[in-house]
Amino acid sequence: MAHRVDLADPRVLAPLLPADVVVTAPIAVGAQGAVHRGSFCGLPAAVKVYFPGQLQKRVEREVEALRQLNSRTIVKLLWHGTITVPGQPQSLPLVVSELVEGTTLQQRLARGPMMPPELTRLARDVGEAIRDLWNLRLVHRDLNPRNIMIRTSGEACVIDLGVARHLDQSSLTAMGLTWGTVGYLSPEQMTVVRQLTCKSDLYTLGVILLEAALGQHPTGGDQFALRNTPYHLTLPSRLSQWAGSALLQRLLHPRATARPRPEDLLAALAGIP
Amino acid sequence: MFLVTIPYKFKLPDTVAPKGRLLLASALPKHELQRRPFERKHPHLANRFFDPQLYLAELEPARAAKHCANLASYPWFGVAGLRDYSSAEQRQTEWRRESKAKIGQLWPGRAADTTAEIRAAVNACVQFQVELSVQAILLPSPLTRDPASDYSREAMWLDAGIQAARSLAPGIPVFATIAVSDVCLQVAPAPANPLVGTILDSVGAREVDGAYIVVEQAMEDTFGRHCATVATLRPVLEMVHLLATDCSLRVGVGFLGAFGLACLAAGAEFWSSGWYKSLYRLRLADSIAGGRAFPHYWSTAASADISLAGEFDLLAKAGRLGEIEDSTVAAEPLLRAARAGISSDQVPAWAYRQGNISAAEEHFLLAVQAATEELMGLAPGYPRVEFVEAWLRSAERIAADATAEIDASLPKGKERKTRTEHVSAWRSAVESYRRDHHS
Repeated sequence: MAHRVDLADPRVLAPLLPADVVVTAPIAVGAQGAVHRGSFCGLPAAVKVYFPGQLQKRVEREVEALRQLNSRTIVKLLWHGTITVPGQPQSLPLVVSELVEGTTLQQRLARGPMMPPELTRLARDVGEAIRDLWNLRLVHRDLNPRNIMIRTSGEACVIDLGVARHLDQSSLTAMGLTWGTVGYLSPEQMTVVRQLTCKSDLYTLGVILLEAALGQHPTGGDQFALRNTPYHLTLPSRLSQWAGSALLQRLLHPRATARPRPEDLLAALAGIP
Repeated sequence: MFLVTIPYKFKLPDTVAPKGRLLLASALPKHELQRRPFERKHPHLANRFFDPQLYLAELEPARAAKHCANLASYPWFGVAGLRDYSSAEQRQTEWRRESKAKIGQLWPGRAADTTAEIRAAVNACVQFQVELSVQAILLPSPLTRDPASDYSREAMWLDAGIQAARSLAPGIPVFATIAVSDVCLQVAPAPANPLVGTILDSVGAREVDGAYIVVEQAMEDTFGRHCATVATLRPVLEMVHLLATDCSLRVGVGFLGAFGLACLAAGAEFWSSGWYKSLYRLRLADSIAGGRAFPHYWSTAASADISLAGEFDLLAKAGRLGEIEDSTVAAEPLLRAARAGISSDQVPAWAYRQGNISAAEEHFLLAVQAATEELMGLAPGYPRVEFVEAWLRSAERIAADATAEIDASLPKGKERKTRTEHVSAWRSAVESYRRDHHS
């Protein structure tokens, strides 16, 4: 997979970019593409180049979703376009977004579980992102600790909208496949052929909060164990110290209708330290 | 709350004072509805709702030309080429004749599906309801007929409706319409039916105050007045319960006859019905215009319509009047005669004649209104469910005894007109619901 190594190297990527886009150091390399630290028109930026073979539609969705949004807790789009890579028959998508300084939630949790005030803040910030997405009838569908950044200020920010789906867009999902990350799927997301709502993202937020409180995924990433454990009835005892635990139980309810709406979640969180 | 639904006439008997009324788009063309005096003449109309009935967009004009012509007068059906009624140019009868003649060619037979068309249709529908001063806006929705549907088409209508209501009807409660065919409900048991889950999720996640549920009973037989399929009724109770309890929405149901009482017990705020079969239930395959009806005697105790073609008399003679009677002022002459051994045919208002339904209709409305009030006098939740289940258990026994009595007396080959199959289905649906949610 030589192209991945090359595009992950800022020295290789830099000459392929438009003049306004500068890359200085790699941040992360994943299955979809490589993310670099850099700048756009002098502003600090995260530059994401997608590897060949990534679904064009998926990239377009991310761009379209980001373009519509103006959310405090979702990364802002600065520019998007394509680059021509020697040896590649098709140009590759490039997405330039605001650079979020901090660590991913995954990196943060590697240092240990979150305490109640941090949990409340995480719930509020990601809940706000889910609300802002849903106001545009977007569903993220792939929230997980790797695409939530914790800024140096402590605020959480959602950074990857690659699979967000707008209601009137046709599904990218094929029969038998679903987007999302195993271990974080809502019960309805597991049924595959289904129109999802914000309630699906809220379930995933519940799993993330549970993981944040425990310092590890509640079922070690096992999706079926997650589905079969009635967290909506009983939470691990560690959660008893968080005043938001009853709310967390509602987020983890297997029935979407029993979960709060985003605005109800945010209203309830306002009274929780 | 019981909302009366009578298609054409607004005047009700003085004895009947329902809490409100559900107006139907299929009953009257737009211009007629706009000209009607509302609460000035008919106090119950002060509390009015209007069902835009977009779910009838697939109605076949060949079977229901009059209703399609009425519906076509409302802009959300997207019918182009039909003349707006103008009193300066034509009489109403001329407009009706002309519209009925043209409707076969003009009727699109489907709800709009492009964003721009939907937005225009929904704006017109919301604006119309605002001008009608309704209590709540019932947002139009196409009918869900495909069990494999992902509900995205309906959600587009719903979102357009929410947006329209926000700008055109601020401060007026907004109800999503859930219009679903029984085909979709019967594919899987209620709690596990994926489409029901999707519908509830789609509505519950959105910014509405309530939901209005209408079920097309495509699978029911042609002759029955009542839905008699547990697999249809149980999911309805599930939808009502989850929308009311999980989502804290106000819920209304239409076209389910007196099963609406069971829906009230499950958490609905209102149910609506009229006397005609087409108002008891919704079946697009029927010509919803129907023919002129024959009278029946509604017995809440038996939860059934007792045929007046000799069967009511037969039960009275067998000493079963006490079991089936509902005492209302409208039924008093009939009951008095029956007690004296006089046939119902000797009571002019109840004689078994086509179109002679005024007393039967008045009686039905009074009886279900009284039953509604009794039920709503109980505390919400289990007490109401227990009450309805007890009513239906008793009704099942009374209905079984009554039909056995009739069957034993009927000459061989003659079919019983009193239909009671639905009673067991109603009881079974309520029992299953109670087991799942109130045990």
